[in-house]
Amino acid sequence: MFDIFVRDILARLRDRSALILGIAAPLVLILILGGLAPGPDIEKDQPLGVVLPAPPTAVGTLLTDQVAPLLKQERIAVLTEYPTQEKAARAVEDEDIDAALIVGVPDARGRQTITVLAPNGHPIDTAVAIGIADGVTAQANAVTSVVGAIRLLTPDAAPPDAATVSAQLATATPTVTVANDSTSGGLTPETRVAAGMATFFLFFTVQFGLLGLLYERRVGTLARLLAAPITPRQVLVAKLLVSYVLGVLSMTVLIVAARLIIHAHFGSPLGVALLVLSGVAAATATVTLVVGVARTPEQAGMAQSMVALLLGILGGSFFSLARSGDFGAAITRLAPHYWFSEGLTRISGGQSWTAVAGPVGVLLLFTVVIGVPGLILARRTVKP
Amino acid sequence: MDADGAPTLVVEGLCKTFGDLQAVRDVSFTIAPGETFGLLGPNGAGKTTAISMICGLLDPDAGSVTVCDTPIRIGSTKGRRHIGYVPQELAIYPDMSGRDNLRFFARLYGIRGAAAKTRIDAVLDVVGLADRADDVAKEYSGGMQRRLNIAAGMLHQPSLLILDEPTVGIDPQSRNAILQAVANLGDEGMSVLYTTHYMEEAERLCRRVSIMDHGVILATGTRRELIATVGEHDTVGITIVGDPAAAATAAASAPGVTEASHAADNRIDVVVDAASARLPDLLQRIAATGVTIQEVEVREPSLDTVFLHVTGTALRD
Repeated sequence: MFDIFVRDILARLRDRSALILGIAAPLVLILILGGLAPGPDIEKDQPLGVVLPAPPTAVGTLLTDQVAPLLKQERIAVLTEYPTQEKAARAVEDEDIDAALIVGVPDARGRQTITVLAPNGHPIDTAVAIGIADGVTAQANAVTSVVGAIRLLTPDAAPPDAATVSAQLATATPTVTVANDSTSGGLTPETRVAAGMATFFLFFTVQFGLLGLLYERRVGTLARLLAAPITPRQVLVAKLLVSYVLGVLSMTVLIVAARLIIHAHFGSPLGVALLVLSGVAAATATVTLVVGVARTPEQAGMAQSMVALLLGILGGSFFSLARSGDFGAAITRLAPHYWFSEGLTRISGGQSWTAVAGPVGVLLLFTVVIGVPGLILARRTVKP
Repeated sequence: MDADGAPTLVVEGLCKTFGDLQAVRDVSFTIAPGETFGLLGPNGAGKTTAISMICGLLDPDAGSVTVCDTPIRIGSTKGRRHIGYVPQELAIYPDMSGRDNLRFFARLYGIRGAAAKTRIDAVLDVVGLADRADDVAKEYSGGMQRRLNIAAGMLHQPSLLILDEPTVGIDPQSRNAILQAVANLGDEGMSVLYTTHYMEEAERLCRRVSIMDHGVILATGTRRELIATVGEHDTVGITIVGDPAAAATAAASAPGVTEASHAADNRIDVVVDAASARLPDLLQRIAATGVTIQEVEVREPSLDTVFLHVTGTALRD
């Protein structure tokens, strides 16, 4: 089995077709599209939510009375007030608003936090909301600092010593901080392009191993393999391994190249590795089913290309279906590409690798659901 | 039979049906150690189906195959080391050199390192490819690729080498080289099962032959035994100038002649027992009719005659 695996891998590397389709073509597209990836396209009158604490605080008042009218006047954003954080979160989830600013209750030392709620994968919306929160924070902190300084310099107050001034400044600055509560803040455009192209071409790359079964059956070498002291199962596993290893190799090279060349940011290496391993397994399962159903290498190649294109479109390799309504958001989840991207989104903000557990689980489920019938059908292909 | 009397291959009652087509029906034969056995029949006779079952590539509906006392079954690797299989198609990797092809197939049989090198050099010599061994196989001529195909089958020194129509579509020179290589295998003690639809190949290589058509073995035996089943009659073709009808009538009256017919415009065919002994008298009788004899051709009985006898038709492609 190992001998068949080694022969096939060397043959694929020798004929360069796998290298071209698995690495060169997607890499060129990543470099071109990543370089052309659009910068922030700030939408006018962006709908944002705000949740104010009770009783009202100066920061809340600053946000609603000073900042909101200015944002509205400049047509940057329209702020809608929500009574609770839960309702604001639901509005974000339902995409009624792009993000929400949650103004926290001051703690015992008078410190307040503005938490930004934003959906995954919407970096621009998140950036605008964080920008507003930052602006309010800076303004509030500046005022607090000035007030503290004025207190220290009041003539009827006792002359402060250096330690008192230092302590006052330490407690006064900052009194308001911003916490980004979006899961990741979303993928950068470069990262999104890199992930999209890598997964799109992955479904072409993995066909090089398993399609060999049909090709070898045609030319007669499969009969010779099966006449040797090798079981059909071993031949099938060898071909599967070739597909899987080529897929992992392709994804690894593309991710590393995208990281180094266009500075795509993928997050936790362990999380990325888990996504790659499970994503390649899902792609290999797909080609297993295709090879099990097809009768000739041409049929299989064509069918796999169609599947790759369809899943690529569904999964958001080119554009996000998730933002085109409920139906789009539902069907995009059928494609492994979506879950790979979703996994990256969850860790690109610096979260632990464990954040990919959900997407990895879905990818493995996809592998089993598609791969098991695929293996049963492909097993029937392993005959002369 | 080997020293303890066991044949290398025992095929008993093989049957295989595809849908409504009964491709192989009750096929049985044995091959002794060192024997070259021919399976002769036209395309579509069921030879390749029978071979697929013998190699364990296809499950028979009924019957059994035993090689070197080991039953052969699909999905089981037992006994496979005893078999070398040379498929009808060119089962080689065109993007690899001849030597690399052989190295890969040797590994499948667990032959590695120095043992592999020695064995590869040996089979390259046998098939006459030693000087082109490091060239990429796709640059070989059709005949050379066929020879490499055979070399891959005999690398692991199997007890039984199965060759499925190994000379189809190649030039006479390569064909001769292949036939010589196969003849040498028998001399080395390897049992060979050779399928062909070329009568002369079967006659040249095989000690015994089975004639197969429509999935059934119609006759089995040595060339002499098979010919004996249709009688030891020779056919004499005589080209004349004159009245062929009169010549045929005169020939028919000669002793030992069983049949004399006007075969073509200026030729008669005479079927006669022991032609060499009766030819002078035969020719004298024909000349007496006033015709001039231009040419005489004596044809001994062949497997063609046997095939015609047992199938009722000439061997078709």
